[in-house]
Amino acid sequence: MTQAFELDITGDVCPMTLVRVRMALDKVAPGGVLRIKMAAGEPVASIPRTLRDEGHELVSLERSGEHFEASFRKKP
Amino acid sequence: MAIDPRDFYTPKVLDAQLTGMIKTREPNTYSARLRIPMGILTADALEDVAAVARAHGRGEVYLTARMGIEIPGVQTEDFPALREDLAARGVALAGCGPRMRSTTACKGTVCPHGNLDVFELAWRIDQAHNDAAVLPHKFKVGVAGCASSCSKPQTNDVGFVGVSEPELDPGACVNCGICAEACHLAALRMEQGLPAIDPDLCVSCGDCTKACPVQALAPRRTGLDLYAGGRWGREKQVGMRLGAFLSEDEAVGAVGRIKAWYVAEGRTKERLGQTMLRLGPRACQEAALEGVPRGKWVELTAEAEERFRGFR
Repeated sequence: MTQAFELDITGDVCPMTLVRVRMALDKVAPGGVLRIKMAAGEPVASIPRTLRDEGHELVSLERSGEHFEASFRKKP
Repeated sequence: MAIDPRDFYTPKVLDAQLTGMIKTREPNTYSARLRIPMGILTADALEDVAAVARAHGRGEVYLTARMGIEIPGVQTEDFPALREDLAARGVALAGCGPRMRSTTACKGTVCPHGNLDVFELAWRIDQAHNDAAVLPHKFKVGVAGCASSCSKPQTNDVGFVGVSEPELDPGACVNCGICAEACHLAALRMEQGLPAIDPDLCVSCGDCTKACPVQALAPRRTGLDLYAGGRWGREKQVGMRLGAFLSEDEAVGAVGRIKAWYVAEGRTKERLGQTMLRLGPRACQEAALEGVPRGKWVELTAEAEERFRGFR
């Protein structure tokens, strides 16, 4: 099993949130997992949707207080 | 700069008004208003406009509040040449005076919040109804892709807003709460692990369905809300919502029916909103929604009519 890449964008605001997600995704091999910690509100409303629309699979999604942690499997 | 107001009413100027010539305060000088629906120009057309502005104006252009372009500094005697030059390049002059204006639109076609192909609908409306007909007064149509209303359709004589009504598949919901995060109006809250929508607060923007990572919330129906009678002049009226969840065909048809009703019923120099107040908004609604299923007619309450009365 490949190791999950982890990214924390809780300190970023739009559009840097998505920019950092894209840069991180570039480092993940197809089929690999990227785990993203993001703030509630705008980031969580837009980033899972954007990755879903681009064909990446949502593997898990958990809320912890004011943050969400989402794991995505990069499309093959 | 001295201006003789009578100049505005001479036949020459009236004719000029009908062909995209806008009188300016400079003597014998006009601004040429170009017809640019939705504010979209190809780069090639933009170069053509630049060439015309150099040849017939001062080499400047003016970006208008309705997403159009005017070429200022055109002398009266140069207007025929400018018109020919534009026509040869495929750029038309726009309606001014008592005519329909170019249709405006937000970027809902590409915006993540958009509920429809806004450019497509605005273009269909413009193609079908933006003709040379003389109307009681100016007549503006605007389209927005969602309730954010970035193109301010409710300040147009006729406005459309793309709407999307959510429906929940409880079995598919993973109880993440992202939909509640996406809702700007707190119309959607998580109750016992599932989203619950307050219909009094929901404006059908569709953001919850777009944010849902597992598509447990999906649009039950999408369409266009119809607003009529908006204007933003010395007196202001916010368009009254007459119809809900219209199809695109129904929306295009409604513009034509409202325009026909306005021509038949409107008095000279009276905007549609004033005609609606004089004859009652219901008369306009009946004309606008003729043939549209009753379920899409918005109930016109006394409270809504009071709000529609406008302000200065």
